[in-house]
Amino acid sequence: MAGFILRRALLVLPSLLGLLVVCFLLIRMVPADPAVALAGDNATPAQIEAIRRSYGLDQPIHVQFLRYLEGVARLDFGQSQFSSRPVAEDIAQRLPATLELTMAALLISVGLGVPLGVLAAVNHNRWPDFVLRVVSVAGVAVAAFWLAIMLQIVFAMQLGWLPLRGQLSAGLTPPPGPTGFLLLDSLLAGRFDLLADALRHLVLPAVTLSLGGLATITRFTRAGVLDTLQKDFVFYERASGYAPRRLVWIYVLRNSVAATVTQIGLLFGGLIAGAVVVESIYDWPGIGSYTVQAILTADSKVMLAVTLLVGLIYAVVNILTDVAHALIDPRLRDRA
Amino acid sequence: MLNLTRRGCMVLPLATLAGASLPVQAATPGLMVRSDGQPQNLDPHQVFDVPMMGYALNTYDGLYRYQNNPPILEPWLATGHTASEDGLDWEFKLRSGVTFHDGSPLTSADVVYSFRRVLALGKAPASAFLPILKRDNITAPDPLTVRFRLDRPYGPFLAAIPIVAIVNAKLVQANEKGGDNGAAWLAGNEAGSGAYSFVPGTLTPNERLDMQRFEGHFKGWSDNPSPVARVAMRTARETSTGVLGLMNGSIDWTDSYLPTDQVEQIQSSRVARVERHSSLRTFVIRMNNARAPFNNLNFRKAMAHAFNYDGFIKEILKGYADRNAGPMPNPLWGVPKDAAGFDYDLGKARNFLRAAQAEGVNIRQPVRIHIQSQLEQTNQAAQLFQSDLQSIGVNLRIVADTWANIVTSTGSAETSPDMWIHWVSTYFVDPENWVGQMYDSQFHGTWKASSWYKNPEVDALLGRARGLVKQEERAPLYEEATRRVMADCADIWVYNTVELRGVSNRLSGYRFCPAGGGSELRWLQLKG
Amino acid sequence: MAAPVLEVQALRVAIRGDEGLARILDHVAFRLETGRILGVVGESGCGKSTLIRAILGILPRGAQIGGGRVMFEGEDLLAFSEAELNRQVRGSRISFIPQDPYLALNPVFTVGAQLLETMRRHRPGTRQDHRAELVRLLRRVQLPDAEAALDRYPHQFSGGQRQRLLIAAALACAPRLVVADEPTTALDVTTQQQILLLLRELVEETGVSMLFVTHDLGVVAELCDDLCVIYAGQSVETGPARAVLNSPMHPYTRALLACHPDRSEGFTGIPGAVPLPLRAPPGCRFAPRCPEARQACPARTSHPRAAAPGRAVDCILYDPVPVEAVP
Repeated sequence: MAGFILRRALLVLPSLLGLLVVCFLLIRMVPADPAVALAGDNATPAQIEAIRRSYGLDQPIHVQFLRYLEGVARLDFGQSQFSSRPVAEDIAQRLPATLELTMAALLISVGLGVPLGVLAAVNHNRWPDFVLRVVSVAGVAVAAFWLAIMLQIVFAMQLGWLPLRGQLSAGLTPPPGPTGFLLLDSLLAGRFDLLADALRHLVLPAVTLSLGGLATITRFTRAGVLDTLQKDFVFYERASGYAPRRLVWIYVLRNSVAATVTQIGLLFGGLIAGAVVVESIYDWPGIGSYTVQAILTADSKVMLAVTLLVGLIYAVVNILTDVAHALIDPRLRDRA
Repeated sequence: MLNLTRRGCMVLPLATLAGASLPVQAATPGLMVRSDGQPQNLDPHQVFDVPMMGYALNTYDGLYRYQNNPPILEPWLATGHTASEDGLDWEFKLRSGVTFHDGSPLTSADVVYSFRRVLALGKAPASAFLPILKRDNITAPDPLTVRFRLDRPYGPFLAAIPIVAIVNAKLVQANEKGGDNGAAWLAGNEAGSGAYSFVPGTLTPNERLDMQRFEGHFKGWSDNPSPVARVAMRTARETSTGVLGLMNGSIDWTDSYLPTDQVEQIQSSRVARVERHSSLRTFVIRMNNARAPFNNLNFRKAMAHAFNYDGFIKEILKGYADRNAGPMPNPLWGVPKDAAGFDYDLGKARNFLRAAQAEGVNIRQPVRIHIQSQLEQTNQAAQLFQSDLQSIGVNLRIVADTWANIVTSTGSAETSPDMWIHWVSTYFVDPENWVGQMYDSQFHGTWKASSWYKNPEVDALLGRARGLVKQEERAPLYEEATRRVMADCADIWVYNTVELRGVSNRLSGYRFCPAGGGSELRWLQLKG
Repeated sequence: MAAPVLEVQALRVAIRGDEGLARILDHVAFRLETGRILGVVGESGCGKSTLIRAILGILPRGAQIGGGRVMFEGEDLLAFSEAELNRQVRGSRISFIPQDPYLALNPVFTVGAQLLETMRRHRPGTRQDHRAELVRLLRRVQLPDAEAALDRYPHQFSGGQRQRLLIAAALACAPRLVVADEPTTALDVTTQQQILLLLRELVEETGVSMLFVTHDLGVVAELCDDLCVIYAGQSVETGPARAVLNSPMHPYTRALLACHPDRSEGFTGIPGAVPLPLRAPPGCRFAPRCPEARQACPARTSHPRAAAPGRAVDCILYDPVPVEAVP
């Protein structure tokens, strides 16, 4: 298994390099000149030229790329052209917020989606199945921003149960560290007031973000369980008098989640993409909103670093998905 | 930062549902929450835009500052200035006893360092100074005197003085790294003397930062019995979120670009109001005068008569804008009172179109207008224009684009769009900011001069006005230049902005100034 | 004669589908005496699996009992609730050996986990006790390396080994009855022989009773004490295996044995085809193919008659001639 992971990890490097090349070319193909944006609204052409030179934007593209690669090899992702801060520092500050949000969303998607999928399958063609089928189609179809604003109006405005926006109430100061994960740091600092406040802020964004995944996970779990229920070994297990709940939730489920696990892996990437919309509406200080900002201002170093990060996350999740498959199904383990 | 996104506008009417409910979020005493945007970074010498002013007008001070509406240039850190007859030598006397947030005194050395630093960084705030000011020509003969010697006379020099925030020289120098002039450090820290100070450790760039009241500010606080003690800046990206926050009491202050359809709803609520103030910010539809068919005067006039100004202002903007028929904002000096501009008259438009056709213009050739897809208003204007032009036989195609792309394309006449739409905000309160930089051909290649208008007489008028110091001498030159630009129908000038900012009823004492859009917080009084 | 461990009486099962009511079992009746092996023989599609499902109480969705009783140790299983069946019958008093050992074990759990699951629920004692008992049983069924086997996964065993595992599992909770569903079909001939031998030994050792469902008359002859022949959902003839095989009484049984003296599988010698349950003829379902069919066959109600000691036949030929009958 360790060898398998190592092999996969080594394969990630060339893919990421390819990703960088493509991304670098794409960014250069967009006409927007970062020097123009940097120079500000009243800049003279000479001023723009000077800025272009000082950022090395006047160099041939392969020179720019090699320079960039050289930096990346030293884990130096350059400076954001606009915030004048190291990109790595910006991302390190923001990534935890996005990870907390996506993990919470994933937890909801999986924690609810798997049981609901099982419920639908066990009640195949009866009312719980019909209800869940309608809901899961709706879940895929409903636009995240619409849902977000609806949730805001209902839960933050009418009922006043949950905060409208942000990660923490304006009057509170997040703990200084050590991990950068707000929930974790609050817990470590023993600040349960912060923890409670942060959790309240997490609910609406996480629910919004989870919905698409919830629907997907429900559908895939339902299909998987339905398929498994037809298998001979399920009849054998029933005939052997397995306790009905253990039969479904342990013996059937573990056989049914292969497709679901693949979906969870894909979903994680999707969640990071979905975070762009959700973070914008809820003012969540993560990398989603950071990326939007970077694109609007043609901040190429940030775009490259985020692309690399998302690529890396995909790759890691991919490996983890394969590992999870192997853990679930011993037949794959023996093959590997 | 403007954020009139399409989805924000589409969904906002839903917020009416929420309007009935009471504020549900209890406000923290002494704390005010702002949802308008943060600057890209915190260094006022690297960034100069509306969000930066919203930050720097509070954390930093300048030699002079614009106050009131219409804006008046008032001595601030300076007690006054003198200028030589030829307009080359300027001397500013400083107020004594001013201290920075760290308690150290503010002296002429800090002023010299600040101006030199702006020039050295060469970023946005430098534009006004780079062509006329050299590093070594900024000097400090004594701790309370600063002298500037300009390369050539430059009329708008004084008007541009408030752009430069005075930073604590020792503090910034102590944090320089590898000859970066402390750029990296100041991007995330603060070294000012303003009425509010940045609270270290509260910054997530573009998301949140806190400021707290600076007791020792040189203006004192005797004129404000209940100032805001702490300011939490929490950027709201979607307009809808900002408005909802205002209605439920979790936000006290939005940006000043509220969509007009939100005004009534906020006004009718008990918790907040909309501050409405005529600003200096013009809305322009640019035409590329260097390219057919816009190189024909009659065609341009036909276009100018085909835009439904009143319909746009009354119906789409619900009346929250002032018709502004020329390139200069109406409240400013240097505006010719006798220039009428163009009205919406499709009959006249048809006649001019016929005249253009007689002169050999192919009026069937489709023309393209670039909008900024993030800014819904540019789209609304383009669509309105499109339907009127269709009725007179001109085929207008709308191209969705972004600011960064358009600005890059304006580098040459060939790549500049046929037409595009933008605002011209107040960077400094001087005709130079509008007619000067928009229609003097020496600025060709910048986005502001993207109509590629070239008229040697106008160039001469503007050049002369730039070289003079006294307003009364400069004004007639700008008026004449404006008259000619309007006669040539260089662009389609639509309106001057009414800024709309949602403000919680907890706050009173709001004062608006077009420079900075009313974001100076020193005046604000907070209930609870 | 000892009391029967299982007595199926006039069992009828139908499934309601889109095309109507399919009467899968239309009067099945037989007795299984304690300690004996009863072979239930029929072609594929004759209702064997439905019979097993009815006994275990795991009927497919839409299936309904049309009548009859399944008496198990004096109680009618059809009157049991699902929970009672699950708790008191399946896996404990009645155990099951499936047809295909390749498909019957859950591929993602160790063999031990699966085998212990049943014991955990149906047998007192600690996990260690269960493990020890299981290892003893695995040794008894001659599974190599019994101790380690529990921690291995199904795909790591051969088909024959898996069937041995399943046999051990069937005995793990000391059941009164083992229902075996063609447990040797999926195996090669040599392995088949070994498994049959093993089953025979185990029944004799433990005194358990066994219902052995098959389509293979050869297997019946080799293994079974008694025999029940089913045709298209109707039990046509029951009796001691040897007696029935030597002198079949029902025309179907006779046809079956006549065209297959070697008693192997296949029924091609009989003209016509087995009717589908949806379009089954009324009365005796074999009548349309029967060389000795009478006019009254379609009107006859199923009713087995004792035709010889220990034997019963359900056929008009063996009905007592009614007095008023007109030839």
